[in-house]
Amino acid sequence: MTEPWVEKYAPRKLSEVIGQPQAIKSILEWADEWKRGKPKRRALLLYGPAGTGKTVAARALAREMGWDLIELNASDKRTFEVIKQVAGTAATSGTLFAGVVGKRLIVLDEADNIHGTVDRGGYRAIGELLEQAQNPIVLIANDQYAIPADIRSACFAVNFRRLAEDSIVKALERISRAEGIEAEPLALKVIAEAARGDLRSAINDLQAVATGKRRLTIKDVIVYRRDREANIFEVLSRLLHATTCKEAREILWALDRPPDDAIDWISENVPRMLLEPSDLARVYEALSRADIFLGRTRKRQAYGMWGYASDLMTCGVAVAREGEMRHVRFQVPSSGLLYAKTRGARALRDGIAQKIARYCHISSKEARKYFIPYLSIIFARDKKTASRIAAQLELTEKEIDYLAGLTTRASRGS
Amino acid sequence: MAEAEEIWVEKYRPKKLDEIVGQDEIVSRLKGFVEKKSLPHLLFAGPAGTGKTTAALCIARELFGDAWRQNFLELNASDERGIDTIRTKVKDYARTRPIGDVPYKLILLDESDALTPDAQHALRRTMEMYTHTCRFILDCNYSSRIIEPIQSRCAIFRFRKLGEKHIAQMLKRIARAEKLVLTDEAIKAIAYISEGDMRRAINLLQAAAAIKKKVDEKSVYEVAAMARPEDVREMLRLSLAGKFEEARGKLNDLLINQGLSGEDILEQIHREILNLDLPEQVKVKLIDKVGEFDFRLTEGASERIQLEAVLAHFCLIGDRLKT
Repeated sequence: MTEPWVEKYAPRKLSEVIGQPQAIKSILEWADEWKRGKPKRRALLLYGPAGTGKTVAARALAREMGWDLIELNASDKRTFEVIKQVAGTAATSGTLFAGVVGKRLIVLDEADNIHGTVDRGGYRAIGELLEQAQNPIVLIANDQYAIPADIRSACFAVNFRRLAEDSIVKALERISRAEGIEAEPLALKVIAEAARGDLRSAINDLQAVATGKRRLTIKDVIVYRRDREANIFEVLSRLLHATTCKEAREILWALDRPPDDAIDWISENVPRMLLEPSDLARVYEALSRADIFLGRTRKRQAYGMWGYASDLMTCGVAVAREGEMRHVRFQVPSSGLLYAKTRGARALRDGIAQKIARYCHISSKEARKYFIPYLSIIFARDKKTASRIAAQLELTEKEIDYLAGLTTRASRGS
Repeated sequence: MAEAEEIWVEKYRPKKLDEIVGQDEIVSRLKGFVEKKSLPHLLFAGPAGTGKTTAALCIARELFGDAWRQNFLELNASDERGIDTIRTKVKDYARTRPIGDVPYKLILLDESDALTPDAQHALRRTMEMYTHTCRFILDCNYSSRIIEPIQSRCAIFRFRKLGEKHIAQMLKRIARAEKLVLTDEAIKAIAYISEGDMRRAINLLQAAAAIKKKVDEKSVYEVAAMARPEDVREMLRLSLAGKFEEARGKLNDLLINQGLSGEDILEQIHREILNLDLPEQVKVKLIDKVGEFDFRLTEGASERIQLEAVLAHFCLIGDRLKT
C-alpha cells in the first residue's frame, strides 16, 4: 500500500505548517522559554478543529528542538501510569535512558476526551502532572471548553483555526505537482471547499480521487463525492430492508463507522422512515439496549461489548420493523451540530451558575435549576435591580446579556 | 463587604437560629449546643429549601461572632472534584488553629449524599483525623444515603418540608420590607408552586416583584410559567399525538439550549405523568417505564438515545389509546 499523503507531505519544520502563522509564532515563544529554563506554564494547549495542523505542529516542534517525542492518547486509561513515569517526578534528572541528553516532549492527544470523567480521575492526574512536570507537555484538543478551567489556565493556550480555502488549494497544488499529477484548478477548488478548513481531509480526498491518475478533472471529483455520501444513506435504507441478522450486521461494516458514531446516524434517520408507532417503540428498544452496551464499553474500556452494541443497532433495528416505511431525505446527525453551535452559550451559563453558587451557598447545578430562570426574568424586566445584582455577583457584560436574553428568547419561542 | 444584599434569598436569610421558621424543635436543640459551646458532628437531612444551610450558617455566626468567616469552611460535594479534593481542602483548613475563644472550627459539607459510599468512608476517616480541631456539619436530602459509620458519629436532625403557614410568614416579612403589595391569593399560589421550598418561594417573589410592585395570583403564575416553560409537558403532548420528530426537536432544545441533564428531564416527565389526561392504569405503566429508562440512563452511553426511547414509548401509548 502506498504511504498516506498526509504523512508523506507532513511538515518537517514548524515554518512549513500551513495557514497558522499566529499559532506557530506563539508555539515558538513558548519553546524559547524552555531554552532558558522552565517556563511558568509547562504545558502547551493546542486547540482547534480537526485537520488544522495541531498534531503535525507538535511533531515538528519536537524535531526542531531536538526533543524526544512521546505521543500518548489521553482517552486511554492506562496512559496515566505511563505519563507519570515519563513526565512526572521520576524523570527529574532529565531522561530515562542514560547517555541521552535533553528533554522529552510529551504529547497528549484527545485531551478533551479524557478517560474517567465520572470521577475526574483523569483530569486530576493531568493537573498533578502539570504542576510537577520537568518536561514540556503538549495537550491537544478540539474543544478547549471540554477541559476543566483550572487545567486550561495552567496551560499556554494556542488556537488553530480552520484553514482558508486558498491555503488548502495551494497545499493541494503542491502535492499534485510532487506526485506528477496535472490537476484542473477547479477540481482542487471543489475538494478544498468541501473540506471546510480541514486540510487533512482535503489531502485524503485528493489521494482518494487522484491516485494512479495523470490528470485530475472536476468530473472525477464530483463522481467521487456523490459516491461517498450516497454510501451512508444507501446503507441506512438497506438496513431497514434487511430480513436476516447476518445481512443487517454486514451493513454496519459497509457503513464504515465505529458503533458509537453509527448509532447517531441510525437514530437520526431510521425513526423518520417508520410509520407505525409500534415499530418506532421496538426500534428504540433495540437502540436503547445498544446504547447500554456502548455505555459499558466506555465505562469499563471493555471493547468486547462493541459487538453486542453493533448487533443490536443493526439486527435489532432491522427485525423490529414490521410495518410500512416511507422515503425520507436522510440527514446528518443533528444533535452534534447543535451541541457545537451552542457550546459558547453553555459555557457562559455554567460560569454564571458558578458565581451564583458561591454566593448563595448552593451547588452550581441547583443555581442553574432554581436561580437562573428567576434571575433572567429580573434581568429582562427590571434593569435597575439587575445591575445591582450583576455588580454583586461580579457578572461580565456578556453574562448580563445572556441572562437578559434568556427570558425574551423563551417567551418568543412559545 | 457591608454592601447591601441584592438577591433576596441572601438578603432575608435568617442571621440567628431564632429567626428560622418552621423548624422550632430543631432550633431549640441547636441553640442548646451553641449556648454550651459544645457541638457534636451534625447531620442535617431534609428536602431543599427547608433551612439546613441557613442553620449551619447561623450556628457559625452565633459561635464565632465576627470571626465566623475565618472559622467556617463551606464545601459542596457535587461541585468539588471528588473526595481527594475535599480531603485536601479539609486538611489545609484544619491545620491552622481556630480564631477566637472556641476550641474548633466548622466545616459544612453540602450535598454530602452526592458522595459514593467509598468516598464517604474516606470522609469518615478524615472526620476522625481532625475531630479535635474541627466539627463537621453534613447536609443531605436523605440520611439513609449516608453510610452507617458516619450517621453514628453525628447528631441527626431531620428538617421538615415547610408548610404554607411558614412560607407565608416569610413572604409577608419580605413584602413589608420591600414595600410590595402582596395578596393572600398570591401567597397561596407561591406556596403551592414552590412545594415547601423557601428558596424557590423567595426567588419567585423577587422575580414577580421585578415585573410589578403589586404581586397578585395572576402575576405569580405568569412568572412561574416564564421561569419554567412548559416544554416537558409540550414534549409529552407531541409524543402522545404521534408527532415524534417534533417531540424530539423539543428534547434537543431541553438538553442542549436549556442545559438540562437527562436526569432532570426524566424527573420532570415523572412529575408530569400524573397531570396528563390519561387512564390511571396507563399512568402507572408509564411511571414504571420511565423508571426503567432512568435506570438505563446510568448504564448507557448517550442520554439522548434513552430519552428518545421514552418519547417513542409515549408515541406508542398515544397510538394505542386512539383505537
